Amino acid sequence: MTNNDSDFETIAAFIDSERVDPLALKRALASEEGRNYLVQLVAMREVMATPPLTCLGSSDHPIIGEQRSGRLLTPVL
Amino acid sequence: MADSADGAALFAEHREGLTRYLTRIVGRPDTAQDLTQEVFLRVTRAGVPQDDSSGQRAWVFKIARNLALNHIRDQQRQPNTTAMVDVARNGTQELSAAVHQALDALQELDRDIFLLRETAGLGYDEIAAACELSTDAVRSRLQRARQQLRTSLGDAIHFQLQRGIRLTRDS
Repeated sequence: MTNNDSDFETIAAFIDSERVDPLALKRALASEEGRNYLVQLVAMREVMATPPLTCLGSSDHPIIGEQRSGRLLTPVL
Repeated sequence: MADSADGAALFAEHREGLTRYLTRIVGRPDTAQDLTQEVFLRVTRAGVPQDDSSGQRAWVFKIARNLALNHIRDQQRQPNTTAMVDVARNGTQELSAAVHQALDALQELDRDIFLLRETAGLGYDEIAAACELSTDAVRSRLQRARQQLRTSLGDAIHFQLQRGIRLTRDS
């Protein structure tokens, strides 16, 4: 694991409300890359809050392999 | 084991998170509702294990995860009878499709771990218990999923950053 990986894990754990070493968090956030990662994680969480898709057809469409079936999807609003 | 009243109370406590998780993983709200109901039946019939609240939450989501994975496997065995429908997509639909596609590209277990974290709000120890993994493995797979999503959802993340970000309350 590189320093970046370790720093990113610390930042992610902090965002996930896990207990982290404050010194490790300070070190992780000392770099611009770490700070970028923090804001990107927060943005990603907002992106992930987008309503999930549902299929217009009649059968279920499990997330796995669905895109490959060529079915058109629309979000649940 | 405790009685079914404990199971009903435990289910009620996690119903919202269960529905969010199941909807995202099976893709249909109606199917997710059916599976949520099945979780209720299993939780109340099996009896809640004597554990702390974190252990009980992991147990409930383990049941939900197994039901979802079984459902997905069953669906994959059936022929696809869904007709193609041509519908224009708006911005939200485009984003939903991008998120769906990005999740679809993850390894199955990585996706599951990510969704248990992001949609159900489980902690690392709870996810580890639900998926029968070590906490370190959860941490590592979660990190891998996020790195992959960070790349595949780069445009959407960039757009979100332009709109501004808000640290949402933990799910």
